[in-house]
Amino acid sequence: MIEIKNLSKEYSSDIGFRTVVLKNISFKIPGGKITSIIAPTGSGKSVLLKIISGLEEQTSGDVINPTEGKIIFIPSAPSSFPWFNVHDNVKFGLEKWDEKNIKELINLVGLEGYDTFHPDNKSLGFRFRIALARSLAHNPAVVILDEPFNQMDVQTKNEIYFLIRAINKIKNTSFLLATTNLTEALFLSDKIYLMKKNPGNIYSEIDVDLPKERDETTFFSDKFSQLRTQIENTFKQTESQKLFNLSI
Amino acid sequence: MIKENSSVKNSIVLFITLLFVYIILFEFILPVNKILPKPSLLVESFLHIWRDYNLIYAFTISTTVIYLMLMLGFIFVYIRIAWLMKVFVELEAAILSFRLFRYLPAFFFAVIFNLWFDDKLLGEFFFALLLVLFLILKKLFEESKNVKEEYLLAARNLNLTPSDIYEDVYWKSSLPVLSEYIKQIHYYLWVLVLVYEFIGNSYGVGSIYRTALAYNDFTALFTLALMIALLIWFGNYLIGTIQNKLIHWTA
Repeated sequence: MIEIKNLSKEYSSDIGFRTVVLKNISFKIPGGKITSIIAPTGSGKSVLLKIISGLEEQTSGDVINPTEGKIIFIPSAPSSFPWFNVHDNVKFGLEKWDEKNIKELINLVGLEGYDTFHPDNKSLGFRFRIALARSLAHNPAVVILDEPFNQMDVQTKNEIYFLIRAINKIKNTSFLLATTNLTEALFLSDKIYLMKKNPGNIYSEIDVDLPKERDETTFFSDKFSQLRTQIENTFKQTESQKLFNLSI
Repeated sequence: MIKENSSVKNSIVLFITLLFVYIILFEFILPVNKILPKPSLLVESFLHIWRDYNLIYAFTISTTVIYLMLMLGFIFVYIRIAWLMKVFVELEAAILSFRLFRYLPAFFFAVIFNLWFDDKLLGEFFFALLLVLFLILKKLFEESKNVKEEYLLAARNLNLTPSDIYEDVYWKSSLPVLSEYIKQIHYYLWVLVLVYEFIGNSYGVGSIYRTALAYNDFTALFTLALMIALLIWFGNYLIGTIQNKLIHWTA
């Protein structure tokens, strides 16, 4: 389990203005589960994810990772390198690697037979699968996905949803997903955190008690609808609370 | 591909048409003129400069300087990329202040190098190498600002050392633009090496130009220009072919 404790991030402009992007954020990323953060655009999701991954410095607070695994960050734009083929992309950054393991990971993400293909001019789904295999090659403590489905078509999105669920099940990999899309967060996650903006903060935690095995019918189940309504209501309450605070 | 083929076809058609017009106009209609030499004179001139101006030796010198230095410059940057990028990052402000010199014409450096080096050939090699290095590095540093953030985030997240990031991300990401720019450097290099040789008046095609000019040998000047154009076209084709074989991605 990875724990985020009282994390804050502030930026100061050249003329001394201070912007508080994240304020005292605390939450836990449970091991072997898929966790989502649902937040509106501009709430500082990406900043939060970069801080957790060690790509940006926090102003205060801690990210506690008691495991030996790395925290791997997959950005929203395709990050597989077009100058390497699939195989070389997957082993990128490894000092030692087992060819059998690399091959297995390529097969696991559905790129069997594409080892020598280059990702340039390939679909977003293809490039995402490479980034996913590359992250798994590092035996990660958690894989962080920053709005990965933004520009994917519906069919690819669905394929990747099932792929992430399958990887979670087969390899017990933890995922942390940041998204603005309630449906995908609900389908994918075991736990959801709701985040508000100005400043960014987690204000609600929801356990998604949908069955572990999920398929197309999950989207139309009563439980799915109930959870969806519950989260929408929480959002509305927060928004009306904000309006109420403004009016007094 | 179809568009490229059609462009080549159009160029060939245009070339043949112009050649035909040139032959008809200047061989038969205006054989005596002050615009362009008679086509038959060009053929005679070719044989004459081949013999009298030691053409093969001059072209060997000029093309060796240009293509060898182009290759060496590129290989040097490739081998030392990590070190060069570190220097650039640490001394960026100091390096950028050298932009002050960008208003100096390259012609000036050709003169200076001719004065500095008694051995004109050695000076020519240095001059060409420094020119190639300066242009490649300038482009590389410009391009390093355009490397996609997601590539850098991925590399940094996987704990790569700065040297590895320079080699595996900055260099590779800049290569498509850089290889395209090599074609432009190739043009500049031809012009500036010819200028250097023209000023030095000792080796290469530039020195033949100077001699031909001294004798008012208009036909020889014209023939040389055609031969140089042919070599530049071939060089460009060669660079393009290598580029297509090795660099298949866009950054």
